[in-house]
Amino acid sequence: MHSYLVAIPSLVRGLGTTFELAIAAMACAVALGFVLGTLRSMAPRALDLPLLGIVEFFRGIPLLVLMYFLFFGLPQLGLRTSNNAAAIAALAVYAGALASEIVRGAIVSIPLGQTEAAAALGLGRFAILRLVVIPQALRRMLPPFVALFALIVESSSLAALIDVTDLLQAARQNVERDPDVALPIYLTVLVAYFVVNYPISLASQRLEKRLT
Amino acid sequence: MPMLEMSGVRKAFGQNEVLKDINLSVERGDVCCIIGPSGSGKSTILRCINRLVPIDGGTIVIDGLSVTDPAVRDVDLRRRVGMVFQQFNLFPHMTARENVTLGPRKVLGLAQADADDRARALLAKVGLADKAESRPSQLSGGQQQRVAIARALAMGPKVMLFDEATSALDPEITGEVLAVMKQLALEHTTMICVTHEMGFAREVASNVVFMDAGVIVESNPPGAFFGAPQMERTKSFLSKVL
Amino acid sequence: MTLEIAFFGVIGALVVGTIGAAMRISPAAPARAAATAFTEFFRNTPPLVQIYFLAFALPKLPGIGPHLILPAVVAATLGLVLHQGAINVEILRAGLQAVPEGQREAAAALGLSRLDQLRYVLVPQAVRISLPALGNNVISLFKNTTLVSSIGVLDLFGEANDVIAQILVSAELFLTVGVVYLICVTLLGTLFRALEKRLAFG
Ligand SMILES: Nc1ncnc2c1ncn2[C@@H]1O[C@H](COP(=O)(O)OP(=O)(O)O)[C@@H](O)[C@H]1O
Ligand SMILES: [Mg+2]
Repeated sequence: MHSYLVAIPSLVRGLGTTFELAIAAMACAVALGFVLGTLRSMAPRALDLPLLGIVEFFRGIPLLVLMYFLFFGLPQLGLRTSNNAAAIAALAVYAGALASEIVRGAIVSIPLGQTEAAAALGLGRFAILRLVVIPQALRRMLPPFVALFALIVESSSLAALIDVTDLLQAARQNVERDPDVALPIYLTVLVAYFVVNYPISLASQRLEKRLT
Repeated sequence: MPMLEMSGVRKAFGQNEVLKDINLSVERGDVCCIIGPSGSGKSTILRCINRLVPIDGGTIVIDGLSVTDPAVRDVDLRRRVGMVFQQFNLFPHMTARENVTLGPRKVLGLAQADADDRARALLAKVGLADKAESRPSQLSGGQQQRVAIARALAMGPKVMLFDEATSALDPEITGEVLAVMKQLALEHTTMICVTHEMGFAREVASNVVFMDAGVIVESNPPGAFFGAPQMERTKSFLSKVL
Repeated sequence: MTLEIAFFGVIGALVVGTIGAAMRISPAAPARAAATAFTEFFRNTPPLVQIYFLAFALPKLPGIGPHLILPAVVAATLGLVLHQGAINVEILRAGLQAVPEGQREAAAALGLSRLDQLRYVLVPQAVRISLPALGNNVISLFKNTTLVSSIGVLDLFGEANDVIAQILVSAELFLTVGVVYLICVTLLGTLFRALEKRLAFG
């Protein structure tokens, strides 16, 4: 009981780190997603193919491989990275690939008639995208983006494996010190992730229903 | 004893009273056509007859079986009542033949070979002998609806219910479905048809029933119904659709 | 090792998904509640934490704990089955819901029992609707087998990890392992798309 109580502050700090990772990664992923997704929705086939290749690559390889590569691999190519930076970068690239699919999907789901009507008014390609298509597409992106954030929070637990002191790593450290608290500590961690993620995924489902 | 007897039937969905004191009787071999504006409760009447929708009050008796009697099982009722839907509702993962044989095999307990024979005969009857192995997606709307009729007939029903069987079809192909329905009427199949096809009602119906806002406004043989409608609401409806 | 874990993981997750989805549409309220609680919990917690819980926390349960010391590979597979199974429950339930109401009505109007309606009409269509999402989940499970390395089971990735520790030439090696995974995932994706085509209506 005592070592469980002692562990609480470190778990709370760990949860804080988990949030930092998730929010930083989400911000980068959204930015990446918009750039890649918009490019892909406009690109001619020849240009779209390599972009598709990049997206499929980062979606296809396991996140842990990516994370290990950035953390263990890059230094050997002469690039030093901190644990946190490597974790955030891996999460951002992985989620960015998913985000670009969300953005592209939302843009191409807007009926062609909208683009044609705007073009008939004399708007340019970029103005059409910015003033007509993206504002409508944003609504469709919102629910999957919220769900993506839950996925990032969940996936950020992998950062523990490159020694980032997130929620899971904080738990591991405590259990290492006193193996007998494993049960309450890991239960706490499970529940903490649930308490964070469940409302997020509920919100995503609600939005999905409301916006369609 | 009539084939179908509804008396005092009431049904509400929440606050919305959809059927108010419906009395309707259909004799064996008769064709009853129900017409009326959309939302008046026509589909609900059909759904109450085979218990897809439970009624709140009144009685319905089909071929001596009471729909409100809990001792009467769903399957006892439904094998006696065939239903054809506006949207066909064919099972898309099955061929035409499989659609027709599913009920006979699983409900009536027929062997596959016997069910296949029955399906072949019925598909031939609706003019689709060569489409037995086609999927619904390979058939036109009119062909799909004829398969749906064969599927319902395969159960050997005492009564056939048609809920706007031609409303989802392009005008030029409603004829092929109406022809099948007329043929059934000639063979003295007891039929209750919700329809907007006034020509069909005039030609085939024993009785035409006009519904509005959950009540039966007027019911008469087609000659009298179309020749000398009694109620103002019937006249105004007919003036719009004819 | 990766293939074994993936194989048992996929089978287990499908079984969990099917049972869970059946419970979620059952007329018995307690069954529905239990399935919903299970699904929401395991869907919304990280599989890695579930694996840690199974491997390190379960054995500390008072009383029965010592009998629950699972070999690492079993704990890992079980963790993946729970997480991916919970997602399957949701996918299959959504698939059943997506079958048009008219299909159930038509099956009921023929006199089919509730069970036969499910068996011959609703489930076959729900599976076809769910197939793309189920395929994605299989791929995700395959990728998640990498998590297994973290509790000391050698999978494709763990083997690379060990080798690095010794010879420290990880950049190419990680890339190689990543590419091998990528190829497997692409193959799986192609397989599922072929399956979808074959089972498409019409
Ligand atoms: N399952 C249902 N739940 C709630 N309301 C329903 C349901 N089915 C029908 N209604 C309502 O009952 C009324 C009559 O519907 P219906 O019988 O389908 O009319 P019709 O077939 O004459 O167009 C409508 O107002 C409709 O909205
Ligand atoms: Mg209707």
